[in-house]
Amino acid sequence: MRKRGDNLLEIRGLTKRFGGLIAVNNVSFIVKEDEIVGLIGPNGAGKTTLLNMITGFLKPSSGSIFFQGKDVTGFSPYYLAKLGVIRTFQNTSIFPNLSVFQNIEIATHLYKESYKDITEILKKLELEEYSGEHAKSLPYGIQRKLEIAIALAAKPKLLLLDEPAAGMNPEETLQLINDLRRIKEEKEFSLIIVDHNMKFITNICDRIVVLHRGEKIAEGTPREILNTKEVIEIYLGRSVYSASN
Amino acid sequence: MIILKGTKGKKSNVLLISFFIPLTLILPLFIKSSFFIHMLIMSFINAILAIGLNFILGFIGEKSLGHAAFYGLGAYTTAILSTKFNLSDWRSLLISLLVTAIGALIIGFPSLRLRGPYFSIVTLGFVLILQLFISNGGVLTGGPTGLPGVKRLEIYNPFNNNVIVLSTDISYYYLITISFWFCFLISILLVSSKIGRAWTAIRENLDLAESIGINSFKYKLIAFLTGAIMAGLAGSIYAHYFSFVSPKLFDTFVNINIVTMVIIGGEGTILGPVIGAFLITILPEILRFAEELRILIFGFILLITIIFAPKGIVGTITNILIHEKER
Repeated sequence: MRKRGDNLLEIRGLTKRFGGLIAVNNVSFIVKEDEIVGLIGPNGAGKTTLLNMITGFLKPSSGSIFFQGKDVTGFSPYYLAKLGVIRTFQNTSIFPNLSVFQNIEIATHLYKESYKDITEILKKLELEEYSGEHAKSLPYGIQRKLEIAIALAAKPKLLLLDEPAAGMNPEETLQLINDLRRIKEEKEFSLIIVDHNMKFITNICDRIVVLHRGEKIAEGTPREILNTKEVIEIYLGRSVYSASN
Repeated sequence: MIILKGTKGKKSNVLLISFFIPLTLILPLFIKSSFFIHMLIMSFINAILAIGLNFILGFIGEKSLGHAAFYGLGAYTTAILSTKFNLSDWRSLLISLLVTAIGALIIGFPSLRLRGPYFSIVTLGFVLILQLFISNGGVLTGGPTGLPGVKRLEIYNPFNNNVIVLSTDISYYYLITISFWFCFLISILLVSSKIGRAWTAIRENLDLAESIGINSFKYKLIAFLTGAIMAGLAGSIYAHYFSFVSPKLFDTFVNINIVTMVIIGGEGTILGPVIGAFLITILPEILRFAEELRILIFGFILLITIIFAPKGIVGTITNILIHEKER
């Protein structure tokens, strides 16, 4: 049995080169069981590239990925999903021409899920009232919720959310935080959340990894990160005072 | 409502099938014209081809431009086995299906992994290569003039412990009708199974499908293989029925014809390809008076369908029905 505190995901020296460009450079970190890790950094820091490598959508140039102690470097996305590595996408990714119910039904592909289980997931994310509607006709906020519902239906051990709060107003973001907290209370899984929104990330994460130009520049609890000089410099710029020093 | 899954769709499927299967089986009792029987046989052969292509075009959304290659492969394997090896019973039929399956594997294995137009290009290339190969096959394939003298199919009769040679048109009508219903039912079964759901996911959103654990390559290959084997079956029956095969059997025109059937009928629906196949087979006979203009009229119909009813006949009607219901 695996328990809280064990390493679920371990990344060692992960590097991705696109021709001459080094998108991710020698990044290492660990995600423990039942932990929420935030991945932040400015645009082009390599957050999504890193996430694509962890989920198998990109093959790393070098370095390795261990999931539950097993080397899974270079595995296909569907196979990683079978192991429990499930992701969402930056641009809302749903099955547009199917109903909300069918979206969830398809997402249970790996298991024999019953009608009851599907309605339970819908209920958990307050999507029951949209059950019969076409996914593409839903408002943006609901589509993003559906995206998370699809990922949950695939029974993640590690769930990676790529900018889940993008395009949301503060109120919707707060709702998202509450949803995620509630779901996590009922089911045990680890989360990696990629986002720009500092408030959102610091509010929900146990630990934060900061990327800048493909390199990890800081790691720690939200409080530690908010007090790290480099992070403040990246987000707010160097102060005149410290620059003159 | 045939294409809709769920209880309602299933019920109407059962109703439809339990009406049409007996109808097609008693039809020859009322039709005495051998021309009509011939038209029905050709319609059913085309329907099997269209159902097969629909797996690839409609259900997984890959644009195959060489479906007729498997039709030709099945027909030629049967013809060669019959004329050169004197084999024309269930064994030759089985070998023909096996050869088509191997052909599909060789084509599908490298090309279905790639995204973009590669699959279309590879399938188109395959049909052209096969054309060249068969046109230059010498004694084995009969070259461009074709291979005559394919023997009639022999079927073992377990009741009298003898062998029946299918020689009449009516016997081929039954053979092709039964084969057609077999393919049609397989199509329904696959679509309403877990495989069909995986196909829908792949067609709708490939990345998302992969991310929730669907091995898209595997399910694409299943669709491609099933479609190709069905085409091989149609080809094998055709060879026995006509006793003659030629490279014209699977030329570019035939390829486009099959695509037209699927698109006009409604790609991604179960009934669409069948309706399309019957239309495209029978329409030329009705338009016989127009002679050379036929092809022009065909192109026009295809154009109109793509612009005004891109979901084909069945897809459009289903949409209208759904809207009526919601009102």
